[in-house]
Amino acid sequence: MNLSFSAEDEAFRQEVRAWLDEHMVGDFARIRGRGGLGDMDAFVDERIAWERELAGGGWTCLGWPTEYGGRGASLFEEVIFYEEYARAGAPGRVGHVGEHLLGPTVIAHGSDAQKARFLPGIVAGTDLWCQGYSEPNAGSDLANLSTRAELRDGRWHLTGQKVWTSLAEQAQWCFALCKTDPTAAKKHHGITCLLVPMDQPGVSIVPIKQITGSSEFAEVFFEDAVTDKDNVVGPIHGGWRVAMGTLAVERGASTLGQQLAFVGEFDRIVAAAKETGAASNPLIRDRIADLHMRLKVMRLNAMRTLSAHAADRELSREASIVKLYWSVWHRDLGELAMDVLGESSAICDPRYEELHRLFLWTRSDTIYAGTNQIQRNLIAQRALGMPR
Amino acid sequence: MDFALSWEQTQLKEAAAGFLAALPSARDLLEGRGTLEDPAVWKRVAEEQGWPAILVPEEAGGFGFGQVELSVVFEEFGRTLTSCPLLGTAFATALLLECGDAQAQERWLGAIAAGEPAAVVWSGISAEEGPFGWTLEGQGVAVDGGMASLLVIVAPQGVFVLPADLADRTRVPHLDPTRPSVGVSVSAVPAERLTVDGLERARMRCESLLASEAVGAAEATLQLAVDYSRVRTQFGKPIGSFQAIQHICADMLLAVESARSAAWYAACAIDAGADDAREAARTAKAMACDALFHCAGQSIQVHGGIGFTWEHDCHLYFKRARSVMDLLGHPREHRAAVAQTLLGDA
Repeated sequence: MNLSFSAEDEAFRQEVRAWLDEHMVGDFARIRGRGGLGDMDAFVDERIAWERELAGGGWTCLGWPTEYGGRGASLFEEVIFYEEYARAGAPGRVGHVGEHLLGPTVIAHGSDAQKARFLPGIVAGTDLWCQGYSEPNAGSDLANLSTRAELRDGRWHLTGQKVWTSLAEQAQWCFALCKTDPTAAKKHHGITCLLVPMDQPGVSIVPIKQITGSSEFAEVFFEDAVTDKDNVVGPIHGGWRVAMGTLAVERGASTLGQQLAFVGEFDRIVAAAKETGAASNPLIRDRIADLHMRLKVMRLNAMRTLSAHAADRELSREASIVKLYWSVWHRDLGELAMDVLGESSAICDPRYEELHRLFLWTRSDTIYAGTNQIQRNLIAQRALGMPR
Repeated sequence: MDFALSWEQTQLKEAAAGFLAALPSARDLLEGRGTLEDPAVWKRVAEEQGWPAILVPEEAGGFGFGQVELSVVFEEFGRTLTSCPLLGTAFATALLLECGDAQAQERWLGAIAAGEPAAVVWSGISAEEGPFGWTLEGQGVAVDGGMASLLVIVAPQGVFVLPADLADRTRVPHLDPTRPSVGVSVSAVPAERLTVDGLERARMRCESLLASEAVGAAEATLQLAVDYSRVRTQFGKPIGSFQAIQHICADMLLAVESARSAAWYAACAIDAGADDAREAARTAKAMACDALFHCAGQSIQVHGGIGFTWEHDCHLYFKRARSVMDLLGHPREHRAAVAQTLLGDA
């Protein structure tokens, strides 16, 4: 049992840290800590510029194979990168969807022509992607989606509605799951994964105003939107397997490294508890210590997962356990954030604006990317082998 | 980075599991098949397996292995609810290791490595220095101390060692029937004094062992629940196919695995002499005890009525869960101590 990173990995950590120190200056220093969860609509233009800055340093798509423009980084290196990224307070990534969802999907299931066409723009930080999976009637039951796509005159024609799409306004492309064979015997047959340009008359975007008052997600309407017939990832009618692959990588290395971002939030709440005097309340002290311990263990869990799967990079079984753990922790932190503010917690005090945001935002953590109930189903069936 | 059991540690785990599986189970003992404190079993533990000598330095006749190795064994002891009396002996070993000078270590740890069972009284006894040395007065409880031939006494004036036959010992009925405990009473009994400098280090070793033991027990309750949910049929289906049952078990797995991470890390931090070892041991003790209590209770719930019967093992784990919680600090006390380091007096 050994909890130290190798000398090579530590050298890599120093390289990441030095680069971030050198580049998180000027306009980028101004957006330190911004654009993360619950704040994804902040400073979008600056963060697009930051994405290109990262690309210039070769820090996008670390884990991708070198033949596709990545660094071929090990899982350890990826986690180290995300730890240092959080430590530096570098802004929320706008390239996340392309790098972590669409890119790996194209690498796994796409044609050579698709790889040549779509991957370089993601590596360069110039092409932004959004994800078109969820629909009003297809949330946890994703296969129930009803957006239709038909092949006519050499092009796909899409009609339907997607929802909870982040970065829809900024993205040039959407990868959308569509029903292409409504007669299929089972509903997860007859689904196809299409790559659709966003800038066209058939696509309209309506922002969703959330519980936080901000709008980080949107509804995307396809009304006879079109895309080239070759823009299909994986087999026609065979998009379900492609989609499941994407969901498996959705929470990978970036999640294992996010604990350090939570440390920053936790420290902020401890500071607030001291300012308000809540830190002298034994019940608050008990909860602060409990969250502190669980936060330490969050990283230990990540290090165990990393140790077990550095070689095979197979994180799908652990992914549910990791998601359930951090989302509940984060929600508990959000509730503590209000309690440390005491009896005036509901007053909108600009000093504590981010505590309100945390309290409200964390209600989404236990829902998006698979609700906690879905995660528990997956844990019971896959990790514990309980009957379906 | 390799936060996993090494090949040797895995071998040790499997050896411990195999050895314990061949012993009478906690249920056998409760029903009078075999005895809870069997000198013949202890002899095999000491001589065949050598587990009492794991932490004992080589100079004192032991193996000089680490806290991680001993924790691996304790996880298996927890799984089967065995006490043996390895727990009492390990507590005494930790105190002698951290508080004893070389001479005391050679004498007393040498005896432990050679197979003398030992136990600790953590409170209730005080010491006085007279013209002929230190004497002890008072009464306390030695958990897992029924077979001990050596006693280590933690008094406000220091840590003391004495042969157990100098003390009056009486069996103490215990909520947890798998944890044989004795009342220890001493009056003007002479004892050898060790330093107190290492007391906190010794306590953290003991907390870490209790954490590992609790992880093993918690995993056993999860296994019982999952196994039962596959065979118990209601509404024409195994109850394990119902989400209400699946979600309980999923939460149990999360609690077990997180507690295991905490327990492994505490042992590693102790072996490495890490700055955060004290906090890591508190975290492990608190999280593992909370996990075990949660899992033992939920396992009864998954079992339904059968889980409430004397015939089923559920109650043994539930009673262990409660008894280990108060031993060496309730989770709440460990959280209060961690809060103190984070927040000061505020």
